[in-house]
Amino acid sequence: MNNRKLSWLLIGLAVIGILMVACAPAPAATTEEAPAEEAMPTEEPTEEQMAEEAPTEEAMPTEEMAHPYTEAERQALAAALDREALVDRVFEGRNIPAYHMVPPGYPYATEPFLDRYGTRDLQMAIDLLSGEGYTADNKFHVQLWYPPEHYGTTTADVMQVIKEQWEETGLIEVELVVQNWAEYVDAFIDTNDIPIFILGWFPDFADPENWLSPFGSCLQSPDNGVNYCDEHMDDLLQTAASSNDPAEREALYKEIGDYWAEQIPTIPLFWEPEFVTYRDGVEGVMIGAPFEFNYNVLSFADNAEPASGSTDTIIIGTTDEVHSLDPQDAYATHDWEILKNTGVPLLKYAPGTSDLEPGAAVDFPTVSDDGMTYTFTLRDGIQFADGTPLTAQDYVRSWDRIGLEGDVSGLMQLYITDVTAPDDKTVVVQLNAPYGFFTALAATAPMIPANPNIYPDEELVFFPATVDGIGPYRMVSYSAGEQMVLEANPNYFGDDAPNIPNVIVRYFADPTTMANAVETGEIDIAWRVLGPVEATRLQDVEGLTVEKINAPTLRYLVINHTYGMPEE
Amino acid sequence: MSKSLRNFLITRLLLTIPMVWFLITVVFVVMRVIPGDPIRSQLGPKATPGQVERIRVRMGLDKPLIVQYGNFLWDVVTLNFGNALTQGERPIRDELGEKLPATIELTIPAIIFTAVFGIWSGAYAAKNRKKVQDYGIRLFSVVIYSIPIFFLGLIFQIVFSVRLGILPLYGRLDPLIQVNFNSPTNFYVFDALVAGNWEALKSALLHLVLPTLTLGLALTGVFVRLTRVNMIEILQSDFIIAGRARGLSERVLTYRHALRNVFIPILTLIGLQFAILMAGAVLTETTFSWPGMGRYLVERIELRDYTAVQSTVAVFALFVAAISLAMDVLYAFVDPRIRY
Repeated sequence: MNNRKLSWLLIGLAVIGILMVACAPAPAATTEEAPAEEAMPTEEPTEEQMAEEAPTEEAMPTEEMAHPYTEAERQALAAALDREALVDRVFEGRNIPAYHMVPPGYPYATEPFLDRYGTRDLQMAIDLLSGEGYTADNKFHVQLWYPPEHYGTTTADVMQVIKEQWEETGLIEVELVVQNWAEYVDAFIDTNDIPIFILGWFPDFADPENWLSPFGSCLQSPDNGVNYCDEHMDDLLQTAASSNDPAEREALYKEIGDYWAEQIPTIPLFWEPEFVTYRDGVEGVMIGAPFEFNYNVLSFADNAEPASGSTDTIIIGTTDEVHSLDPQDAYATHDWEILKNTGVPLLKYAPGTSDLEPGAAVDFPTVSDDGMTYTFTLRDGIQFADGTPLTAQDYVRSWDRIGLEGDVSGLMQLYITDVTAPDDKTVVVQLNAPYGFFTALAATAPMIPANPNIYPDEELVFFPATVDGIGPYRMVSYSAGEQMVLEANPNYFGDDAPNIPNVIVRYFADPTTMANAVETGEIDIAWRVLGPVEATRLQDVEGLTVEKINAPTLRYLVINHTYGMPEE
Repeated sequence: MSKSLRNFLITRLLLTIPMVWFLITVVFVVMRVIPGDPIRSQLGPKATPGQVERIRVRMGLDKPLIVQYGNFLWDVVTLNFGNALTQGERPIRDELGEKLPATIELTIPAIIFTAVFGIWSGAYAAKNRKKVQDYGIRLFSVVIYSIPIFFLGLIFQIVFSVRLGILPLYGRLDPLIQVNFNSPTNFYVFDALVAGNWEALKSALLHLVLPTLTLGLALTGVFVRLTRVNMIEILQSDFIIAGRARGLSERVLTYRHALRNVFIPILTLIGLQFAILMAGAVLTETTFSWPGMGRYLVERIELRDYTAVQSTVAVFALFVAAISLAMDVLYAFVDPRIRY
């Protein structure tokens, strides 16, 4: 009997031990070698380098050396970076080097990093670092963090190339640190221990404001771990955002760009393209700069062989998931795509372009003299898909629903203070400053009116049974992980009613299966996220068209400007 | 039902309770100890700290851990499970109500396939010991056992869907059929049968072929080897020799008399393999975009969706416990020597 008790005790202890080991916070893995060798045509490390690399871990008590990086150090990092080589080596030239946070082709885009550092200025980097007192024996030690999978498995290669490029100065020593996404986010928001790390940005609305203030303003930069605060930059950003004068904005954004390249709150790396693949006979796939996919302009040519067997139904595949279908909550690319096909904001983009045009509003808004009040007049006779007439009151109600703390609330509350309706046809939006970019914000999904029969005033409805909005389509069913069915909205007000009355969106668990499905003709269009590997393979398949879309998806390095400083 | 059998069943049932409790407690602790936050991992850097805090309060994550634990245990006891923390905060019961039937519809045919095919080949190999058939089957079992399950799935997809085009590539139903298909239980095959919807039934069965084969084949190797070894031993035992002396045919001896005796270790294995099958379902479900529990679990672990992960593990545990209980009961029928 005693024996048995003893063995139970031992088993119990063992279990507790295992649990304690499992629960102990895992130290972030430190990688010193190339994570993906075949993608890395690197030279063999010399013996000298090997000898240097081996003792890094003990020789580098990072806590002692932690300090916020000086301007010269930041500039040296920016100057030593060769984006062209990076993009060539890791992405075979598919991605586009980013010389500013604002994507080329967008309003007020400049290339300040190219102007200041060229494609690369190694000598400048060496001079700057020497000026800071760094030598071959006393190197500038940099910790570079990245998540292994959140931005695709190529991230490891990107980081390896950056490490090599920086180390080519002979004065920088880079330590790569890998951390899982969930822990990574926690780490850069909660702790102050991460000096430099990679992040991605996808814009909420197409204006430079949305690529700059989130990282360069005192108010927003801590949310992205930048912790950058500079009075002059704040002034510039505020003035540029509040201006209604295109010429003034252009001059200001040029100045901001140049100041950005000097101050370096962040280092832009590259723009990541997306791919859309469709079968012969599918027409009207127009995905423009604001990254909107309008299903209503799709059509089948005479030679088409629709996956459904009928030209009345088109099947679109995606690996995205639906997070929320409440316009005042949704804050994800695919959710916005569905909401914009089933609803219309006050202003919208002409398909395939970045040109704004009136949506539910009859015309562009009138702006008050102080630039803080925008007045829209609604079109006559708009109805929700279930026949409920739309009034200006629906916009007031929808604005009140922003107060329900949905995911997207924070974005809207940054700029808008109130929405009122003096009469049934007039919507008045009150801003907290004269934002010149408000028209772009007015074209976002949260500005889509919520149908009162589906979305009650007092709570968010993430997955309504149907979505009867004012858009060209209505959603009739959704089964998670399988498919969503859309059909033409019989009460749609626009003259661009759908060419194909039924759309089925199929949800895939991985891009390879989706690529095979478009190849076998089980779906008509394979949309995001197809990934570069599958897209490259499908390019050679007969009967398919692969289109590269220059998405405004940015990858950039964040420099933590309070690194090493005691937390307040 | 004899009294002793009833006592046995009650004891077994009661033993399931601490087992499940232990498992979900471990998961509860581990989910909270590993770094990462359900709200931030979903919203990413775009959430403001104030917003994160308000959502935390709404979800009850601001309460002391012990209170959260108590609430969770109560949710499991009442089989209510509460709401998910991410992806629209739907009731877990609704979510699992969609995912569990999909996984069961996949795993039951898979385990039947693997058992039938594995046992038959094992027995066949034992009967033809040291002949070509035996070596062939043994080689097959080793190869199939060592192929990664997702790779097998991919190969099947490329061969049967992309190249030959005879079987559907992914999913549970043809998209067009699904538009008008009403599935109250989410068991598509069952619902199609009940509704007499033959078109949907055909589509659902066709969609089942590749994932079932993938999952089933991957586990076959173990069954082949176990059956073969046990069969060889039993085929040399006295009662078989006696049977042979009485002029019973080899066929009857092998498949009727010997095979029945092999079923005891095999039943144990089926019970054990079921847990592995659930894990294999994760990979199969991803390859075939099958909307089941495995895919759901992985997705929610990444999002640190505490309640979803805990509840899914609890359901898995209950399910595996139920299967192993059923196996224990089956022993009694298979082997008359076992009395409870």
